Amino acid sequence: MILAAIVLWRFLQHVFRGSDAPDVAIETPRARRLFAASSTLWVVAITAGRLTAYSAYVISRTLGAVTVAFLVAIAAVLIARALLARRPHAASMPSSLAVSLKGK
Amino acid sequence: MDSALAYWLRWPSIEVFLDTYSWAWPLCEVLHFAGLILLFGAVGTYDLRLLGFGKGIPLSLLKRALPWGVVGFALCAVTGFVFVGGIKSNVGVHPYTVLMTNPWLQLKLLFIALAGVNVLAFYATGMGRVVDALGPQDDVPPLGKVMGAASLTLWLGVIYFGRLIPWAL
Repeated sequence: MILAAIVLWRFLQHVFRGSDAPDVAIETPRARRLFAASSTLWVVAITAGRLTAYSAYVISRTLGAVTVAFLVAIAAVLIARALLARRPHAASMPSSLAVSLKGK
Repeated sequence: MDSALAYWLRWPSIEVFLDTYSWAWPLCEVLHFAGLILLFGAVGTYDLRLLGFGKGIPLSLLKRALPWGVVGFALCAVTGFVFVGGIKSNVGVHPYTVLMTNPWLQLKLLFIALAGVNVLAFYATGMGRVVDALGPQDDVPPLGKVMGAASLTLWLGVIYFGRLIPWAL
């Protein structure tokens, strides 16, 4: 949780106090890395919190299951994003760009 | 009626699964909590904006996070079904008995139902369309604020009563 708070603070510094505007800064690779680190750390914190009531044997077995579940969730999000990215989105583009793309 | 409910509440296949794999119950707990966080993070933020917090944020922007709340609810519903259907393997009590005797589970289910009615009322009264049209700094109508407060209270109640369920088993 302490590490997650530090990562969150650095994320906020990067997005809201950096040289770029927040809309631009949030799309940078650094912002994505910080977000991924923050998400992972919170998953670890939640898992650790839930597992405090169990024996070492159950904890070791559950850690493997949680890791698999986490990887499946990441894969599902990546697949969903890839499918959404394949959707035609000419309607949301500036009209001149949409017309030029349709021409091709 | 009662015997049919008792029959459908208990799932021996889930009990066997939970008995066989020691990681299954704690994994479901982790997923249940992750679902709660997704649900309350998305819906709670939207409710707070309805109440007037963070007025600089347009509601249409916060609405884009609501599908994550639905994902969270689905995660909670599936894992909650595993908890109820397979509870006999954990505490040795039939789920029907738990449902009939545990006041916290009854209150949790009641509050979930009321939160569902609140969402239906939000869209049935046209409040959803009204707040969609609001921009930054715009104030939500009083009825929308009441519904936001009700939603926040009901979901907090669901979390609170959910935590108390094991204490009455």
